Amino acid sequence: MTLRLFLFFCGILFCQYSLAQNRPAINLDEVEVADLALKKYADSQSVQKLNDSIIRKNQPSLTHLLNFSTGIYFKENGLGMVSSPSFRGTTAQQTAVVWNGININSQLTGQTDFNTITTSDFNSISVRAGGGSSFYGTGAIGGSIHLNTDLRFKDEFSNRLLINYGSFNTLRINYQLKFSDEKVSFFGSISRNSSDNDYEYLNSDLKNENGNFVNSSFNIGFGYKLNATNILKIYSQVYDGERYFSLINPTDTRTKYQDLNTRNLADLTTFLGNFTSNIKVGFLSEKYKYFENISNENFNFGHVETLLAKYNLSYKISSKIQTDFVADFNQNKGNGSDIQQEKRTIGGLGLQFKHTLNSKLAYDWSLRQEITDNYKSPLLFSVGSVFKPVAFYKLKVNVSQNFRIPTFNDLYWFGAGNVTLNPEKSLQGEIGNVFQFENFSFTATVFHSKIKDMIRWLPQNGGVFQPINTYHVSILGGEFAMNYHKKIEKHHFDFNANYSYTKSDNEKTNKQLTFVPFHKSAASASYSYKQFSAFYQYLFVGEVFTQTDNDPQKVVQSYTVSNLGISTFLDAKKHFKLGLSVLNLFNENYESVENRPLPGRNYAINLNLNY
Amino acid sequence: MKITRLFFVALASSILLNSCSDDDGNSPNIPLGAYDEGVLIVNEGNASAGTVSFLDDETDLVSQDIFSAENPGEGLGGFVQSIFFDDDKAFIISNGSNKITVVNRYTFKLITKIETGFNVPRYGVVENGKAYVTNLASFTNLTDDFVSVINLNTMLVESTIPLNAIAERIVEENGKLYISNGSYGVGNSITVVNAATNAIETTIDVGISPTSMEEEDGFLYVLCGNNVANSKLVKINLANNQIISELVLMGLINAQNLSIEDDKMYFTVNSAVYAQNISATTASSTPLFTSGATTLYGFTVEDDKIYVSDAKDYASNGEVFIYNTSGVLQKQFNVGLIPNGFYFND
Repeated sequence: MTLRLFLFFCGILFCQYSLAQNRPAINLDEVEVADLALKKYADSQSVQKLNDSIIRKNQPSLTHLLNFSTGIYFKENGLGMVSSPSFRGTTAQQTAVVWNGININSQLTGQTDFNTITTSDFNSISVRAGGGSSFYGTGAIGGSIHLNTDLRFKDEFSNRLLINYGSFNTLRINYQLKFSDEKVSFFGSISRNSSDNDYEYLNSDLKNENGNFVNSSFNIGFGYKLNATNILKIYSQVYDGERYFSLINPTDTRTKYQDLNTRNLADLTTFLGNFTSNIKVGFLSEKYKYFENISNENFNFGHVETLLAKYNLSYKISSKIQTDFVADFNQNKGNGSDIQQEKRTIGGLGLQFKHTLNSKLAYDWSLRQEITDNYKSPLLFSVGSVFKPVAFYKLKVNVSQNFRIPTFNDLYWFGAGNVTLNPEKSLQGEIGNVFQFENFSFTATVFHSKIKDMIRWLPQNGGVFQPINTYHVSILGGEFAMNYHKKIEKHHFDFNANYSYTKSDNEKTNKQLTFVPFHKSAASASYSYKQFSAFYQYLFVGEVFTQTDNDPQKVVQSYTVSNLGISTFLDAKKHFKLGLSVLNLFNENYESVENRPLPGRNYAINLNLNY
Repeated sequence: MKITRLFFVALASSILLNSCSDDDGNSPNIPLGAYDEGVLIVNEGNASAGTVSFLDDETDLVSQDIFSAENPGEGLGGFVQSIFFDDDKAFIISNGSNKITVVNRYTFKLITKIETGFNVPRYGVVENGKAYVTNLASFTNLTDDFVSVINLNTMLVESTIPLNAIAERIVEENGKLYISNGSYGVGNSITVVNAATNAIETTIDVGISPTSMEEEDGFLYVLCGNNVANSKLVKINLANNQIISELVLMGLINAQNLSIEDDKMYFTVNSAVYAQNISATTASSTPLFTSGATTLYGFTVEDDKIYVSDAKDYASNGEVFIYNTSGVLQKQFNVGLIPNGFYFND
């Protein structure tokens, strides 16, 4: 019923504006992106774009990439195992992962396992800090990670093969193909990663047992200009992986886990004078199988299929004012060995507005209301402003209300699910200062958020764990980042550093949340000269508590990890590039979860072929 | 995954083996080790490690993680479920790591580790030179559970007894093993095994899921409950394996932790502690007292003291409360993560 209402509503608007059509479109040679809100409504927040060259420098897991280049903290159950982020002091379910504008966090767990995203499949990844639920819905509280498939409409053809082989028999292969002209654009990437992952633990005679993994994935984007006013884009992504879960004690029961995720999206953009209409239709599916003992064939599984439709109408009122209207519809159908078979339908309506008053001051706001009989839905909003009094300085202010809805597991787990759960709700604000000079930039941001009704699985009567809305959380933090780059003749230098401080308190106990460090810092330096280039990466993660009572004996110690890489082109035309990386250069004995050591010094060689 | 782990914790449940104390006439004046004369408290812990705390009867002091203190560099394994004893040896069962750590019960010095032949081991007893340990095996399969038979001379598992039913608590009496076939409301019987032949003799249907049991004067008392029905106490005559009486505990859902002391039976429903005469024919639904535990997890009665452990939110250090038999708090102290049971060195 809600769907019909929306389509009707959209239909009316669409017809009206079709009639109003007059001029042909103009701006068609820039990069086409599917994530409209990231492009248009992120000025008052901090967005860090990680381009292709940064992605390639890192190991192709989202955990590795973001750990060494952002303030996001990661908790990893051993290398390549389940990886959960904490962004600005929030939980793993409070970080949204967005693929081409679509929120892809698991409907079952509410989070994305950051070791199930192969970064080499995307041409850019953006990190948007702070609330974004009024654009992306559930989970965009700490921030959102945007996986982008950019399409360009100009004459281009390129082929790229990356082969990376390293310690522990780790083989990573990625092939990318791009071709485009003024009418058609194609981007395709296919990857395969595998590793025995049997690294020896430092200062111990044990090694990482049962930790081997293999995964394959592809990501495709195809754009076609139907005519002067219509562009059709199709995106598709598949991830298929199997991981054995590494053991803590050698006699632990051996388990493994399989993921199969598919994502498909069709996107039609129509330019109608000052109006731009965009329709998206998507189909996502996620499936996991958990083998609790690999000596037999028994497994638990969960499976959710999502059908979505999203309509966005943009209206450029003047060169300084624009507004967007959004209507969307989501239907999730879930079943599994441990959850009831259920269907969930969510509709959403959004309005966004941006006004540039003059060269110094701009503001924007957005509203989103979700409609469902599943949970009580708060009004989601975001209000922001950018003030630029002088050329080198910008002041950014943003306030938003965001949420995280209960998951299928929370609602429908056999014998434990709680259908009366409310969403976790967050009200937050931030002030950012950006200093931008020719070769140097510096940003300083403070943020504060209050999160209500945290959903936690806690023992209820009879000792059965059930999800309930529990305590509130108060977070206060600061982020500092700088970049310096310089080019002297053929020498290029680039230096980045960031530091974040996060205090994230359970308001009832005044204790820091578990697995949220007070301090985290990452830095990288790179240098290139003619054919040769080198980089150095540094990461410091402060101590974290593993227990909610903050017992000072029950912590994961702080650690410092460095990586070093060198590479050189082998030919004058820069078709072949050979590189060597040393990971954990100083052989730090460290772990991010207690008793799950991460590898000591290890090596990788990589070969890069470009045509 | 996280949820699965939570359920693992829930399954890797509580309650101790009640018949563990071993009053075998040790001379009271010569301490047999640092941990003679006191209470051992098992802290289940998490997937990486559980611990044992010790309350010293003489000094009233509490020591944490006594196994690591006595055996540096060694660990008990994940999810420590229970302990059983053979003379001066303590067998500490880790269900997450499928191993049993054998220590001297008074010094807590490591003797050996038994690391093969288990699949999620739960509880154990000793009979005639052998130890019998229940195993849950696959959580999703209720018919693959078994009993591992350990030869106490070789300290190796020499055989297994498939039960074709859940294997949880185990009691030994007169050469017979009584294994409760219940876990979290599922399963409704007791399997009787002849320890001399490893053969299943019979299965006694007790109606609803057995949560705990204790042998007393030739009778097996089985407390049964689930999340919907009135709990009940079933009395079985071990001479002929016949049920001779059933006492319905009206209005009491999911009663747990049966402990018999001085002809009185004690049990718990959530945080409330109940007591009544073992020969009573009607049951009172009024608790003796309600304990201070937010999550009552371990419970036993010994020498006129009621021991309660609190697992709290399963993610912070637990607490122990000791009451007298009138329910007056005598002592309260912190222990390790998720305390699940008490054992007595005296």
